[in-house]
Parts: sequence; structure tokens; C-alpha cells
Amino acid sequence: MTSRGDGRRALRAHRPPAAACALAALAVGFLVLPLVGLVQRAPWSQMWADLTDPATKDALRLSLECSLAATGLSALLGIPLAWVLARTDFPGRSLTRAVVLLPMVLPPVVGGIALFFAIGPRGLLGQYLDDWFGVRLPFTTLGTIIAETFVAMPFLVITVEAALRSIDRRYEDAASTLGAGRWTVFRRVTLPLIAPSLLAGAALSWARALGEFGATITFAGNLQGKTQTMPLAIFVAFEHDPATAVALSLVLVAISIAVLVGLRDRWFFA
Amino acid sequence: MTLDAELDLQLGTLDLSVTFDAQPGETVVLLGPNGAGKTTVLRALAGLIPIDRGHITLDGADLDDPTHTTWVPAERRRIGVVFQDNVLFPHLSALDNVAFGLRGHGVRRNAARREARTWLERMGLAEHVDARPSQLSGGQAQRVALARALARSPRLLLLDEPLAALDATTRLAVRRDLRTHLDRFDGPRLLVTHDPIDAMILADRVIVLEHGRVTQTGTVSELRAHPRSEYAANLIGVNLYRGTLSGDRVTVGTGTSLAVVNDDRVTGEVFATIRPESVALHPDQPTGSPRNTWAGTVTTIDRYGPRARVALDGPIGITAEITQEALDELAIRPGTRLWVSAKATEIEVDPF
Repeated sequence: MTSRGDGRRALRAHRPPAAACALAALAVGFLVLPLVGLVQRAPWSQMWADLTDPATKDALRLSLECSLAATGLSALLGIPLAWVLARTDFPGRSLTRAVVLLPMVLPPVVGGIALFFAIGPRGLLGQYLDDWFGVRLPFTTLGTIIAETFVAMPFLVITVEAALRSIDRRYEDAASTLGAGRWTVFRRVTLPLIAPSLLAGAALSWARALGEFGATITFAGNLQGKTQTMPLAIFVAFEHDPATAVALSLVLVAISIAVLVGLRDRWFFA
Repeated sequence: MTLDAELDLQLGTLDLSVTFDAQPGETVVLLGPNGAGKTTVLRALAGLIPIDRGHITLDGADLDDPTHTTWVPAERRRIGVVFQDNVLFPHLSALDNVAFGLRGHGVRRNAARREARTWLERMGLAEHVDARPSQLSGGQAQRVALARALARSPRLLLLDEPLAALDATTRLAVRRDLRTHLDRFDGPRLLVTHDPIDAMILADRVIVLEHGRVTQTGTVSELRAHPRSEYAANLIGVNLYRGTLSGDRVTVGTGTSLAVVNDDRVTGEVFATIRPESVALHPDQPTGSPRNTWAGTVTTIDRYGPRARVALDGPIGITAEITQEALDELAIRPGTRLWVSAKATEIEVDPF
């Protein structure tokens, strides 16, 4: 027998506890409030002037170029690394994975200092780069890309490795029985199967590279047009011209929202 | 294109050691319970896992021989494999799934697609060339998988439980279909299954595999008459009759018929199966409830454990499984005349 009373009881059974609702609302507020703070201070009148300022244009261009380059480099080196971690068994594999993922938890400033003493002019490897090839990475755009790759690559590796572990290996077996060599199998079967995860991993590392501050400023410095990316420009602007800092911040917010919206179906709400 | 295999390998808890061959145009069914090592045999033949000892020789050429360090990788063996659950590439259309192997074979993209289309048409899938595997029914996906394996004109065809993923009604149609397609392939074909009906309909020869060992090899009728293990006896040792069902009677051969229960009101071609343990033997004509009784002459007796399987000639040849005690009490030996009884309710009827 169904009555209205039963219906109401069923409804009540599905209602979440009030305490959870309150805390969830608090969490949303906590995450959204800063954005509201940013938007309400937006200097709409001087926005155009701020955004067309040469220093801003340089920073924006550099941010996009460096973060995309870092994502590309992460994919180039990270996909083979993920494959090795997922598909081969060698002594010290767990240790290797731990070390590879370290930059995810390491404070970026520490990463920057570590890079400085590794590939800086007098670093472990850097002294030879300097002596033999005259290559000096600090305070160059290449240095910025390397710093960003250092912090961003682990995100791609961890995502792609998980995907490689979860796909059904028999698809690859089927491809080899159909005459495909290892590279063809990887290109025509493995890669398409892990594509959603690869895209998500690339988006994560790209976002991480775009927001990178600590390692970049420590290792690559803060030179307009060469190493000064958006986060660095915002930090500098904040000290003497908060309104400009807000305007630049909103640009990054807009880019981030665009990426979230673009990926929503593929990954975040899967 | 003869396959000659002697496989010895350890994989986890499986200790596999089998020797067998398969001739061109012959369908060999590898029958065994789960975990017997059937799939491992196929994977070793396909080149997906190496063997520890022994050899795999196809058409006189060694594919895997650890003692001579011969190893031909899977992609160069030209062995067609139909995997369990088909394993069609989910990101490719039916057409591109079939064309995949052709392209790997050095055929250009458009030529490969043309040939793939021909294969799919031959399989009756002309309307599904552009479908993704997820849009195909189980039977259709199975045919695409078969077309994909056959399109490369393999030297040997391996099928791993090709019918296991299908529902009961589709299985009947696909099984019949499969027989036709297998007959068109002129190399040796090796089919793995745990379903005795697959073996009965598709096999020229059956290899029974248990715990990594071959326990018996022979035709279906040889196995049915003289099963050498309890597994074989239970699975394949059933009395199987092909006949025509109408009303409550299945007409078998010329004139003889069996009374059955026809709950589903089916008519036409059927399989009637009677388990040997539900067949009773009597010294005199029984007069009780069993609807089917006839007299027969004992031809062979096989004893295993406390049981004995007694095969009888008569209007309907049948095998009965009785205890050795009953065998001794009735003094049954080859030549003895006995009455057979089988209850109609114990006869299973499956449409063919």
C-alpha cells in the first residue's frame, strides 16, 4: 500500500544529514568566496589598459608558451616513463615511482633550488653544460620550461600509468596476432585506449605548469619577456599596483574555467 | 599446414605439459574445465607467451623451440586468433577492426578497407561496417572477430571460447554459422571450450585437457563410448540423439521414437540428451512408469571407480551408467540381452 505518508518517509530516507549539508555549504563558500573577492575588486575601467600593457602581454604569451612546451615535454618523456613503470618489472621500481612523484609533494621553491644546484651554472650537470656547450639555463625561457616540466610531469606520469595498468592487455595481444609490431600496437591500440586519461593527465600538468611560481622564480628568475610568467607578473604587480594584479588574476581564472568546462565530460565528471 | 606442438610450461600454479597435432581442414576441440590450461595453450601457440620446453612447429617450421632458441614473435606467426569476448578494438569501426590486420600485412589503407568490406559482407554484416563494437550484438561481434582473424589468411586458426559470451538462443544460430565458416578455412583450426555441445557439433577430434595434462584424445563418439576420466564421462558421455520433435515424441533415425516432455511446444530439429546415470537396466521387460522401454544387447562395459558404463545395441543405441554391484548382480557381460528404461522426464530436448 502506498500513501502520501510512505512517500514522504521515503523522501526523508534519502535526505542527507543536516550537519553534512551545512559543512558542504561551508566548503563551497570557502572555495568560492576568494573568487568573489577577486571579481568585486576587478578594475573594469582600467582592465583594457592593464591587459594590453607590454609587460602583461609578454607574461601572458610566455605563460602560454612555456606551459604548453612543458606539457609537451612532460608527454614526450612522461608517456615512456609511465609505460616502463606500468609494464616492466625491475628492481627498485617502487623507489623509482616514489622519486618520480616527489615533485608533486615537494615545495616548488625547494624544487627550484634543487634544479639550480643540478643544472645551474655551477651545478652537478650544469657546469658541463656551461663548459662544453656554453648553455646556461637559469634566467632563460628554456630554464622556465624546465622548471615547469619538473613540477608538472608527475601529474601526467601518474595518470597515464594508472590508465596503462587498467586497460585490457588482450587488445594489445589481439593487435600483435594481427601482425602489428610493438610500435604499431602502441600507436594504433594502446594510445587510443588511454587517450581520455592522457588528455586528463596533460590537462592536469598543463594547469600545474601554468600556475607554477616557486620553482620558476627560484631557478629561472623574474625577467620580463624571458622568464616572467603570469603568476610572477601578478606577484610583482601586487606589491605596487593591486588593481593590475587583480586584472591579471582574472585572466588566469578565465583560462582555468575554460579548461574545466572543456574537460568536464571527459574526465572531471566521468 | 600441419600443426605439431609439444608444450611444456609453468604459469603461476598451472603446470602445463601437452603434446598434440592438428591437420589441415581439421577442427580440433580442446575441451576441459576452467583452469585446465586451455587458454594458455592458445596463448603459447599464438606467441603471446613463450614455452619453457618442447616445440611449436607449423608447416614444418619451428615457431618456438627453447632448446634451439627459436622464437617467432606473435606478429610474424600469421596465426588467426578469435579471443574470448571477441576483444574487438572499441575505438575502431567493424570495418577498421577487420582492416587492422590487413594493413599490418602491407596492404594500403583503401585496399585494406575494400577487402575488409568483402569479408564483412561474406559474414552477412554489410549493414554494420561502420558500427562500433559496442553497437553490435554478441553474435555480430563474434562474426566480426572471426572475419578479423580470417582476413589475414592465417596458417592456423585459434578460437578461445567463441560462444561463451552469447546467450542461449543466439548460441545455437552462431554455432551452426561457425561450423560453416570453419569448414571454409582450409588450415588447421583449434577451438577451446568447456561446453560439450560445442565439441559435439564442431569437433572432428576432441582433446580433453585436465590440470594441464591431456587425459584423452578421440572423436566425440569414441569419447562418449569410452570416457577415460570422470570429467569426460560427465560432460561428453551423455547419450545424444538428433531427431525431429513433434508433439511429445522425438523421432530418431528410421521409425524409432522417444517419449519426451515438450514443455515449450517446440517442433522440428532437436537434440535429445539422456544422461547415462538416468538410464536403468532390467533383466525382464519393466512395466512401471518409464515411458521408454526397449530391449538391447550389451556391446561393451567400461569400469571406473565404483561405476560401470554399459553400452547397448538395439533400436536405439544407448549407454547406461550403473554401479559395479548391479553389474555383478545382473551378471552383465558383452552379449547379454537386457531391457532398457528411460523416463520421459529425464530426457532433455534442445532445439538444433
